[in-house]
Amino acid sequence: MKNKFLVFILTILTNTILINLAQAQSYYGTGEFGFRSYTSDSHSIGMGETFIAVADGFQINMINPAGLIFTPVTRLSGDFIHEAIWSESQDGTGFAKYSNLNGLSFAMPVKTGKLVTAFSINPISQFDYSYEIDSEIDGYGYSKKTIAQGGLNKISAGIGFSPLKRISIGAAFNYYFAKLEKTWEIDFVSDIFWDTSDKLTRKMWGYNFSTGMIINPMPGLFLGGFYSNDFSLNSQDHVKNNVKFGSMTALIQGYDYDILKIQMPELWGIGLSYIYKNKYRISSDYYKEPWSKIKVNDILLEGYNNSSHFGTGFEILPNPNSLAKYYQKMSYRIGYYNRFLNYLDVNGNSISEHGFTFGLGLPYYNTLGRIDIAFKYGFRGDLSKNPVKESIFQMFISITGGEKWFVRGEQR
Amino acid sequence: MRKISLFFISILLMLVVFGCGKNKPLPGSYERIIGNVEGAVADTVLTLETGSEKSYSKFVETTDALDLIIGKYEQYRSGIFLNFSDVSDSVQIDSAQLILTIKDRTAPGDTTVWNISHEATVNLFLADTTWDKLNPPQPDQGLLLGTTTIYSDSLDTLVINLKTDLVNQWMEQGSPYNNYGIWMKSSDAEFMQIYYSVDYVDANVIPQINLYFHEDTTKTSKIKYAYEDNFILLNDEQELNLDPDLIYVGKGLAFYNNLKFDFSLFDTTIHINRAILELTINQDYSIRDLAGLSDVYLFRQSVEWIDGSEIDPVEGLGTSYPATVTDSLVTFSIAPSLQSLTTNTYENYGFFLKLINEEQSISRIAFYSSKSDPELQPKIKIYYSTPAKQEF
Repeated sequence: MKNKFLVFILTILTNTILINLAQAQSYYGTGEFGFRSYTSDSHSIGMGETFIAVADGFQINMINPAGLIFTPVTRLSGDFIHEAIWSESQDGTGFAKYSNLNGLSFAMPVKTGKLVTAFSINPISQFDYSYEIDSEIDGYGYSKKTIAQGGLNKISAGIGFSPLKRISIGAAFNYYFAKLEKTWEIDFVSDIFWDTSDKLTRKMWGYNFSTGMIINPMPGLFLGGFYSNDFSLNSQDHVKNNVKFGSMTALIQGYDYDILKIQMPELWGIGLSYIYKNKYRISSDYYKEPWSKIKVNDILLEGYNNSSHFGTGFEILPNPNSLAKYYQKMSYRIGYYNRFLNYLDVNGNSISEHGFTFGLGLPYYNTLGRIDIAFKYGFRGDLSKNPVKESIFQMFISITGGEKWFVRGEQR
Repeated sequence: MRKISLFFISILLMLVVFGCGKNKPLPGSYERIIGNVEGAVADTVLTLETGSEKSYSKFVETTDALDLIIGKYEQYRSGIFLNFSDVSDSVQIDSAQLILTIKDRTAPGDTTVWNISHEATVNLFLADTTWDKLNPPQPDQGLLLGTTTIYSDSLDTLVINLKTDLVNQWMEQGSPYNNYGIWMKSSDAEFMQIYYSVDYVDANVIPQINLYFHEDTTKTSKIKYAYEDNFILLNDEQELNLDPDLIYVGKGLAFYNNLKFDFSLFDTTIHINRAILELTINQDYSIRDLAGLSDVYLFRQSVEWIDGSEIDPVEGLGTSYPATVTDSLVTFSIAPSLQSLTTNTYENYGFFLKLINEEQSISRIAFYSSKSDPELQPKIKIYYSTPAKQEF
């Protein structure tokens, strides 16, 4: 692409993230799969994490692939996240921050408004934290660390198709892969001790399909729904126990467990959006993932909860007049969401999260590209029934560029 | 447009880079959230089951030693064996001298022995049979080649004048003594003198015999160098009056020991952070030379101990551990082997204790055993960590 600005920003953000590698350390992200996330698109997040029926030409929608049809030109989009979490428990408070790349998407219209193909890679769960405590034995100091990193990722290849006017459908193939690592370390201060570490690496892989539909029954109104089927996720654990003495590292034990079959739940959702006089948009989504059905080798797992998400948002759309001032060409968004997490806490109680979102859309490159920024401030858990309450501040940036490749037919 | 966008981006980047402060873990989160209380560090001390040590001793081959030792050193008495090639000669010997060059001297730990000059008689005998290290010959006055006196404060070359008739008898062609060499001992020395052996690189200091003889009317001489030598302990283990409740290692008379600790209390998944096997020296029963303690080595034994059978040094011994000496303690850092034994990588046949360079000198070090007071017994101080749950 000729868009040097996009490349510049992507480079700056990537380098920034590389020098700012703190772990998330959310109490509720230490479960088996880490913390589940659904969308990394800043436009969606700014509107209360709604995306199912949003007809936005910059959003490469791989969850409801019917939304791909609104992509007018070839687009490349990169997503980034920065978050800060303030934790509170009966014992005290904690704080953690985290930054990372959050997704990459590419969409290319084969026939604008009729047929669009897309590819994306996104994290769908995040598993990053580290804890360290110092102690001593017989006067010898040591630190005990637990480090977890990784997450479940998804590569999607999708297609959006509009067989009839006002109706679009889509389908996507999703390949899931994960590398979750958890390391327990004993690190002595004195060199006369061997440091030891246990590393458990879990690799997962599997695939499923998504389908979706968006209809436009009347001008400005869009109704949508999607379904992503339940699927089998292969999981294999690899254990390596090491000792380290000075610069020498030796393997104590290394072995692999048998491959397990994890039956992952389906995901479905419905949503609507309405555009009023091409100036304002409201949207609302509800999606659900019944994690209580998760099984390992046909054995139902305990400690999981049916996760659900409700979100609603409002957006002031950009002024399409090319003579409008820049701030008039910007988008302004606000939203609210409420969700139940897919885990139960240690006492078996459900964990809810709710919060507000705010977003901006900054066009560039003669409105062919857009930088979306979203802020989310929410609360996770409730100290009256959960062990930890978290206040979350998240910032998302999506940078989307666009160029006209092989464009045929009408543009929306 | 770009000014506004870059302004926003700059603000956001600063937010990302500098964040909102340093991470601060939630109190108590480590145990409660991660559930990793199992990943604990602990320590314990293992002792030997009473009487479980095993040992055997043997005289070791000392022909490669750089030293030849004669005299008495506490309970050890040492003699010297020498053999010379091509001793048969047709000439008539007028006189002969055995020359040994002193390298060093040693004496019991009581250094007052050096306050006065001690002297001792050394007798040199012609051997009449093949040298048997395990069965040293008895003195035969009929084969006495020469006698001299050595002094504890002397560093002069030792010269022993040999009886001419016996030398001629020894070197006569066809003599039954040609192949058996000579040997020397002292019965009354209270110290030891150490001489250079045939393995020493300087030919001037290795044992030699100067022969003086006539050829026609011309007096002439020649030097015969020893090609084989040995020092030999002249008393066996029983004569040493060893305390059977101690553990020994030695040179000259070597002791080999098996110390088998019971590791069954450990789960195979534990991680060894440090393991120190500790032996306490009993100085009363130790005879030390300067290199003695640093030559104490511990090996992981890789074959089963069978009473009466020697352990093959190649096949039977695994990882070796040098000693660290502190005051009266000898310690070995054995974490790697202990880790291997607890994880069943190797079968636990115990540890093998011995001295290296055991053929080079004379020494003996005694250690307290499992039958000694508890604080003096062999023990392993182990720091270990039990593994975490190893689950997500």
